[in-house]
Amino acid sequence: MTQKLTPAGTSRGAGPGPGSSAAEPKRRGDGIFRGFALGAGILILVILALVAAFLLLQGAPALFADPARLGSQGYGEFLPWVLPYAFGTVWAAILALLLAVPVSIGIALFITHYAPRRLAQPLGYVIDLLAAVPSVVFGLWGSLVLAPAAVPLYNWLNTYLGFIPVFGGQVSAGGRNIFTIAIVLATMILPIITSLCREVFLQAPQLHEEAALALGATRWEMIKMAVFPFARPGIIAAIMLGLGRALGETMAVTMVLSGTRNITFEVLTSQNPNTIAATIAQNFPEAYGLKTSQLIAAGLVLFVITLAVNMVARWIVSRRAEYSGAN
Amino acid sequence: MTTITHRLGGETLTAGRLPRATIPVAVVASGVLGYALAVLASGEGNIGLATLFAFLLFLVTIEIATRLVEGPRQAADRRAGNLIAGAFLLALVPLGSVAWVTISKGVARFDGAFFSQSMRNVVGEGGGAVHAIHAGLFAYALMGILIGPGTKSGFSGSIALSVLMIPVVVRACEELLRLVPNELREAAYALGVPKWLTIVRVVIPTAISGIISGVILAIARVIGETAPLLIAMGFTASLNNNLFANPMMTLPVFVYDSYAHPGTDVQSYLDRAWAGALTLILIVMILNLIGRLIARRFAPKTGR
Repeated sequence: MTQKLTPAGTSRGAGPGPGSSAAEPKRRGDGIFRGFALGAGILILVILALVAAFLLLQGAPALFADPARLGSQGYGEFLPWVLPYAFGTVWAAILALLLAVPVSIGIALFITHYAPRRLAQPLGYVIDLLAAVPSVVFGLWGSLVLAPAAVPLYNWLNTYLGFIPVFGGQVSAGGRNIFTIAIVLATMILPIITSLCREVFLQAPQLHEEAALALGATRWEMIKMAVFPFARPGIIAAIMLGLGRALGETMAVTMVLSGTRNITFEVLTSQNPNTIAATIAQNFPEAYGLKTSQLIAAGLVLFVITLAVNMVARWIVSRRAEYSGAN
Repeated sequence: MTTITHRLGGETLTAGRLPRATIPVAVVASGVLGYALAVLASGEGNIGLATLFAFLLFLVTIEIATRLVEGPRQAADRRAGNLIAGAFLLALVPLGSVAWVTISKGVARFDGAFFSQSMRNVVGEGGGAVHAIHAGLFAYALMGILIGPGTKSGFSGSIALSVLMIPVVVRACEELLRLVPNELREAAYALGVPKWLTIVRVVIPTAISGIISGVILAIARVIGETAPLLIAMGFTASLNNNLFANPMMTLPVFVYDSYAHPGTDVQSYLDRAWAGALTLILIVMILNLIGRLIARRFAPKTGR
C-alpha cells in the first residue's frame, strides 16, 4: 500500500510548489530545508544499512571460521546449527498465521460491516489497544496460564487425530510445545492484521457496495463481490506484516517454549525446534567470543528471512494493485 | 404492474423469511443442548467444550432453517455472518484471558512495597521493519566497536529503542502530514510564502497534535520491548542512574528476569512478575489513552 501511495504523495507535495518553471526564484531557505529533509530520509536508510553491516561484521568470524574451531569454541558447525532454528522460526510463524488470519479477517469484517455502528468504533479502539500489550505479558500468560490449560486439548487431539502426522508423537506434559507458541503468536499478531484489514475494508468504495446491495445481493455476496476484490492487496500486506512480527517475536517464545534443536513437523511433542530470536535471547547473556559471533550470524539469517518475506509481500501487492479496480 | 400488486396482496411481506424470534430461540436452545452434550462427552461441565458444541449446533440449526425457509443464498449469507461473529467472540477469549489473569494475579502484589522495594532496580526507559532483536544486536555491536567489547549500558539500550522507534514515528507522521488539506498549502503558496516556511508555519502546526500523539503511541510501543534491552543493557539488581556505564534494568526485563531466574521462593517471584506485567500494561494503556485523546481533540480539520 505505502509503496503505491508514496510517489503520489511526493508529487502532490512537490507539484503545486511555487513557480515550477524557468522564473523560479532561488530561495536559500528552501534549499536548506530540503537538505535537512533529504538528510533525515537518508539517515534511515543509513541506519538500516548499518544494522545489516554490523550484523555482517560481527557475525563474519563465525560465518567464515573453521568448522573444527566452531565445534570446540562455538556451538558447532554453522549451517547444521542454524538450520533447525531457521526452520522453527518459519514453522511457528506459519502456524500462527494459519490460526490468526481467518479470525482477524472475520473480526475486521465484523467491525466494519456487521457490528452496530455505535459499537464499531470502541471495538476498533479496543483491538488497537491490544496491539500495544507488551510481549512479556503475553509470554507470562502463555507459559503460566495457556500452556497448562491447553494440555487436555492436546491430549484429545493426539488421541483422536493422532493419525495425522502433525498431531502425532508423545504429547509434552507441560503443554509448552510449538502449538502453544502458535496460539500465543496468533494472539499477538491478531490485532495488527485486524486493524490493517479494517482500514482496508473501510476504504472499499461505498458506491460499489451500495450498487451490489441495490442489485439484490445479500450482505455476504456484497462483501464477496465488492469488498474482497478491492481489499485483496491490503489483506496480503496485512498478512505479511503479521508474518514479519511473528518471525521476529522473541520474548514470548523465549518464555513459553522449551526449545531444542531438531526439525520436526509434530506440533504437540516436547521436542520442539526453537526459533532464532529466542535462541539469541536465551544464549546471549552467557555467550562470549566466537559464540557471540555465531549468535549474531544467526540474527543475520533471521534478517535475511524477514527481508525475503517483505520483498515477496511488496511484489505481490504491487502485482495485484494493477488488477484491483480500485484506481 | 398488476402481477406485482397481485403477489403483494396475496402474501404478507414477511413471507419466506424466518420469524424474528428464531435467532434468540436458537441461541438459547443450542446453548442448553451444547452444555448437555459437553457433560455427556467429558463427564463434567467444561465451558470451552460446551461453547464449541453450542456454536456448532447453532450453525447447523440456522443453516438448515434458513435453507428451508429462505433459500441457499440467504443461508450462505447467514452462515458467513455467524462465522464472522464467531471469529470475533473467539478472539475475545485469549485477549480477555490475558487481561483478566494479569489483573487478578497482579493486584496481589500491586502495593507500596512492590514499588519501593522490589523495583528499586528499575529505571525509566532509555530513549524512549527492523526486528527488536536486531536492534539489540546492532546497539550491542555498535557500542562494542565504539567503546569496547561486551559493553552493556543504558545508552546502548536507548540506541536500540530509537532504531525501533523511528519507523513507527515516520509512519504516523507521514499519514498525518498527508491529512493536511492541500488547499492550505496552495493558499500559502499563492501568497508567495516559500515552501519551507509553508511547511514550518502551516503544515506542521496543523498536524502537530497528531504528530505528538504518534510519538506518544510510539513510546507506548517501545516501553514494552524486552529483547533488545536484554542484549544491550543486561541485568542488574540495583538502581543505576549512570546512563553510560554498567547494566541498567527496565520494567519488561524485570518481569522476564523474575520469571526466568526465580530464587528459592518461586511463587513470590512469580507474583512480582505478574505485578510488573500489570504495571506495564497500565503504563502502556494510559500512554495510549493520552495519545488517542490528543489525536481526537486536536485532529486537523480535513473538511469532511
